Amino acid sequence: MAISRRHLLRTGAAAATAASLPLPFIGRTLAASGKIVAGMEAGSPYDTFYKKHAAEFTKASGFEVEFISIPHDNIRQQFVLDALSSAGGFDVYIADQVWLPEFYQKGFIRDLSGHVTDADRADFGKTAIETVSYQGALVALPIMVHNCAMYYRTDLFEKAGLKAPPASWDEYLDFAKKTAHGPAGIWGTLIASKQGIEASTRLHSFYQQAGGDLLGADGKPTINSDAGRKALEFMTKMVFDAKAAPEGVLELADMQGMWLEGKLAMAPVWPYLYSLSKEPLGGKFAIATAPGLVNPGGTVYSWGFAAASGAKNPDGAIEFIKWATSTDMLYGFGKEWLNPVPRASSIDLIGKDTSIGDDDKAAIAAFAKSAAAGKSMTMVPQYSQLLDILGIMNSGVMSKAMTIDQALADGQSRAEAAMASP
Amino acid sequence: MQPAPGTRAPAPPAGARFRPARRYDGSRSLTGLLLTLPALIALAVTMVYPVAWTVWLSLNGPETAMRGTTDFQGLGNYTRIAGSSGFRAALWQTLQIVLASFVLEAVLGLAVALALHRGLRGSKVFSAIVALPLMVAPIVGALSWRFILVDGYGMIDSIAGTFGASGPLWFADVWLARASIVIANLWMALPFDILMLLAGLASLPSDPLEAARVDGATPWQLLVFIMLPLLKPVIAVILVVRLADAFRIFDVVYVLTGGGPANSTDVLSTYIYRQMFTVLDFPGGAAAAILLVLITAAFSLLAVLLLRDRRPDN
Repeated sequence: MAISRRHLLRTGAAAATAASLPLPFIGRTLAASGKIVAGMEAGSPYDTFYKKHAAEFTKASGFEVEFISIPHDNIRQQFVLDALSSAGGFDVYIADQVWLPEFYQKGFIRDLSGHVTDADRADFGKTAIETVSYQGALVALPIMVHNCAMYYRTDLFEKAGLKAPPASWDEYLDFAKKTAHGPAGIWGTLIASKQGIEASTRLHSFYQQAGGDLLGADGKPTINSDAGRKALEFMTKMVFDAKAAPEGVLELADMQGMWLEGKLAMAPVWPYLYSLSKEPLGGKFAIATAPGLVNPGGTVYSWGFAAASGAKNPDGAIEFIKWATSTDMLYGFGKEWLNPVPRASSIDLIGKDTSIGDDDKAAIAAFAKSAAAGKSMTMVPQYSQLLDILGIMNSGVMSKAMTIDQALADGQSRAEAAMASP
Repeated sequence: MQPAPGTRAPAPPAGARFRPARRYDGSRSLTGLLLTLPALIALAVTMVYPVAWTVWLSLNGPETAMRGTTDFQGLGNYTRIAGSSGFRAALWQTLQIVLASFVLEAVLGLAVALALHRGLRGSKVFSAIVALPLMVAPIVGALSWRFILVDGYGMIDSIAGTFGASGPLWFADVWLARASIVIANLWMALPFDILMLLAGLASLPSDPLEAARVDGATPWQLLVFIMLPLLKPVIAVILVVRLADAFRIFDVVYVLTGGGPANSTDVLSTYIYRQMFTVLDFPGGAAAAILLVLITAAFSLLAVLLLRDRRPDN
């Protein structure tokens, strides 16, 4: 068929007009049809779990769910960009507790207070609700409230004549020395210190275990404190003096990898590693609360679902959050991934479930006990910056690029500047 | 029919001289414009708009990013960022990495390109192998280098272990951490330099080289006085492309060191990323990004000026 110039011009003009139609208009039309977009962390247990059960939500609510899975390293960046551009790309998303204060302060996420009953609040429990509350607003609903529990190898402990996990820092140091076995390439433990958020959460845990924290009751930084000094001294003692942990600047991935390869006797890691460890380690490991100098347990963090302020389908987002954090879903999540869950009614159902083995129930109970012993992260919008500062201190001291005194002074000065920022 | 030599073609009647051509050109221009309009719109949306928005953000306060309201600050964000110790440290460290990378790239790239250009046996296979890193995503290349270098149980450490030794702690020493970034970056960048230089060497005119050889020039004199001056345009292209790449270095730093230890490998890209997504200082991050573009452009311009062909006929 021959195409005339006039025809070509007319078609071109029509295409250009169509291309210039505002995309949000098209997006909103789709949203109105009952679809929501949920942002998830690619490859995470909750990503797999909620995708698997999404059809049940659609059946119950009529809302279809499109999941967008984002790699861990980019997830925060994606949600920030979405909020900034007002693109409304997400109606609901999985949120790290670390982000909640600043996201709410910047107006990225909604207050869910009006959508949660008193009975639900009571079922979640005080600690769980605190991890998602900021300035009186309920800024998310949790699916996981956890901290790094101490994984330890029962076979190596037995070989070293140890009968129980370490209950104090002194024991941690002593047990790490006793279980380390150079010729076999086995270390007592690992101190993560690569500059980045993961290793920083470990240093925060050491601060709390030493009886301190990053901010005082008045909200002022207490980085340069006795607890901070003891935390850094303990870390250096474990690596450089006791030689019970490998030298070098390592990270969580290294710790996980070495643990799964059987090269670590003790590793403070998140609960999700439990189900991954069972096969490679032949079940020869157990879980305990991480020891402390003053307080046992590490810093507690939660993950939950937050509703985006720019949601195109806010009703669908709220419905999804209610469903995803319901008793049944959290019971299913805890059962499938052997994770501690934040609802009393769900924990009750897991306890009564005869299909869950005793070892697994004991592990879930140990994770719950560890979280109960710990203390929540500091709920301030500048928390990400504080973690960044801890990363500089941690990597600086463990690489000997900084002395402990220098790190504490530098960290304090940076933290004061961060807290003074809007 | 052509006019006879020495005669002029008859002039068209006055008034009608350009009319048909003008109508034809206008129509063609409109068609051309309409055909390229989708591409122009796409370009405007994906390139011009983000750059313009970043410039606008850098000139305003935080409210502009958060709520879209104007909060004009002039050059306030630029002076704040340029005066911050974090930015200056990141800039200095970026310059160090760029300089180290360029010296190594120049020496190794030229050496390998000259060796391959001689057409020795196996050079074609080697050329194909040399090009492999170009096909690897930067993040994958960076992860591979982390597995090779990681402290205590990386590939180098494993090899050293078989001889009863242990490898260096690459990420636990400020200078080794910087060196690891330069090495990984070199592995990714070198193939581009080599392939460009090989193409340049292949297109060199043979006459000046032959003449110099006849006059008794040594291989070193051939390289310095004949080949390198003739390769100037290729080297200028390499410099401009690689300068932009080297200043934007991110993946390698993020994966290998995270900017540590103690911020000692923090570069401008990781600094900008932190300002934007950790501190959520959008105006400051935008100002730092624009400063990075200006610094890169200034260095690229300098490279082009230094390497431009000054011969009168060019």
